[in-house]
Amino acid sequence: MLRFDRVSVRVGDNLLVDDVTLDIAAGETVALVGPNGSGKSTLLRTAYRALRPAAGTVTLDGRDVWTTPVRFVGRTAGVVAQHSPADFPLTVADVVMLGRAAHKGMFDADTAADRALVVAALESVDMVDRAERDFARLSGGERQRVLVAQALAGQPSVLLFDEPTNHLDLRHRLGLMRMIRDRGGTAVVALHDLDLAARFCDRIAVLERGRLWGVGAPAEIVTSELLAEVYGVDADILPHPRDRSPMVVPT
Amino acid sequence: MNTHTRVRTVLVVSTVALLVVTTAAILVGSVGVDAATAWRIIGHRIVGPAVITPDWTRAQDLIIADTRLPRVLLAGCVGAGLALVGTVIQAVVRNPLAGPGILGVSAGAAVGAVAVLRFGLGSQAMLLPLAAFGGALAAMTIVLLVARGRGPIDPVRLVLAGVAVSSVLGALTSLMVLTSPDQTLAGQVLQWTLGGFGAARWDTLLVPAVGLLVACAVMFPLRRSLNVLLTGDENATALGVDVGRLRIGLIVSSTLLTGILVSVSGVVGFVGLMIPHIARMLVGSDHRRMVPVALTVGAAFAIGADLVARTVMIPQEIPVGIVTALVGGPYFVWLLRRTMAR
Repeated sequence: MLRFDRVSVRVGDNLLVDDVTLDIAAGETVALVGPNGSGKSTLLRTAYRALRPAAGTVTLDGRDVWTTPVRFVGRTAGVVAQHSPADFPLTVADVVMLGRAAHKGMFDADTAADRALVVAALESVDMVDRAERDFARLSGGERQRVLVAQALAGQPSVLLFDEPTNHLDLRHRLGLMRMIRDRGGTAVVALHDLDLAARFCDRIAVLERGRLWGVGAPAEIVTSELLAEVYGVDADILPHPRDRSPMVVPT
Repeated sequence: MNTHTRVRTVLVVSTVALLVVTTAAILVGSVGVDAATAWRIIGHRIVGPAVITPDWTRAQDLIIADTRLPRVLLAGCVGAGLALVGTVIQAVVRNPLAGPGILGVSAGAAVGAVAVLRFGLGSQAMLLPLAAFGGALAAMTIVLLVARGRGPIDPVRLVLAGVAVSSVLGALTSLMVLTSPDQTLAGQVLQWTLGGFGAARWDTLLVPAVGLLVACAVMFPLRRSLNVLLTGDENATALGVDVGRLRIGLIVSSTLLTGILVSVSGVVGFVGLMIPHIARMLVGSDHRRMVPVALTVGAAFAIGADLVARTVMIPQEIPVGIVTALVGGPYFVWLLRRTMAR
């Protein structure tokens, strides 16, 4: 469904992503983890055409994202970028409606079907009661949820979310991860929280200084070795009391 | 009041205001005509004497139909056009302080126009608009080349390049004026840079009117993309908009229209900066709602300002740019404070 094939990204003299190959199957949720500056965002950005790789290819649904029209990527991928301007004076519903842009022709008006998708997307992030509010006046976490809804409104087959849990309170953090898992579609989610990654994702890919350190099922990846080697943190790993997913307990 | 009703109300009110101010601008002047006669003179020109029988003097006919009407229409075109360009530029560089002049276009046009005045090149009536338009185009090209980097043009670089190029061009204009043997040049240049619609005739109206219509036709299908652009380059790309191409396309078409408008009317300040803000305050930032409002309010404002400019100090006419700034500035401050207080 989404394949990074020997992708390298160079910005100036820095090699931010170094020869990463990663295959994400249809229906799979993969967490992208790693310390600050390890290249998580950079790798994701190559998939939605925000950053062109110096080498390698990214294919989405079998098509090279950098040679297909931008519109194809807009329709196929639902993106939450890490940094977005927060000050644009549109209402919440207007912002989410922009998520339909790649599906609309130049002369199309918004239809009832579009509006229904906007409402459904807002419901899934628990923001439907604030649809008419100014986006610029929301709190950071509310804004983040609206941007998630915008990505969902396009009914994408792949989610590319860069730290979507930023600014979210505990309830909405769990709600968002559950939504991503239960949606059943393909998703790549950059995360800092290893416990969330282990609980809600099928596989975890670890980046370290631009290289792929390892990829595998949560129990194989979230280990004391990972924490020592990649994060430089001494930690024990305990099973979650309910679902036995690995949990990090720093010593 | 829901958004839909509100937008409709605002559009109706601004259209009525546009008609009222247009009628007033056609009526007021040294030769008095009543409203009914004025509209009949205009109707007569359109449908011919078979339908409307003339009962007015030839002087009235000339003043209404050949002097005031083209002037009002030119003011309307320029006001609507500058409001449109301001709206687009503010979205393109994602900066509310941007206006048609921000990319060096006005400064470029001024260099072209002043060069013609300074060096007395041939027939000014024809050459001056052409030189102003060429100057605007050259300034835009330089700004785009300076701002160009890897990937889509960055809005901040674009604004900085515009400021730098404008100051260089401003210096060139000043140099030409100050080294001129012609003592009256400074006055002429000041007059031109403050704008005016006094030169309006039917034949000078054609190019700006066509330019405005073409720009509206180009803009209409892009309204949704303009909204997407508000959310930032990265998000816009992810939503399927080719940001680089859209930005260049919008800059080039805005510059072409600004160049045309400035070449016929000089630099009419404040309209392009202020009208988009007023439209947003009235109906919100969604370009599908605000562009029509900006067009009508822009036209009405420019026609009203021109009416004031030619009547407030009779028999002298003051440049319309002075009126737009004197009226627009304080009004803008008032609106801004009111919005902040909410």
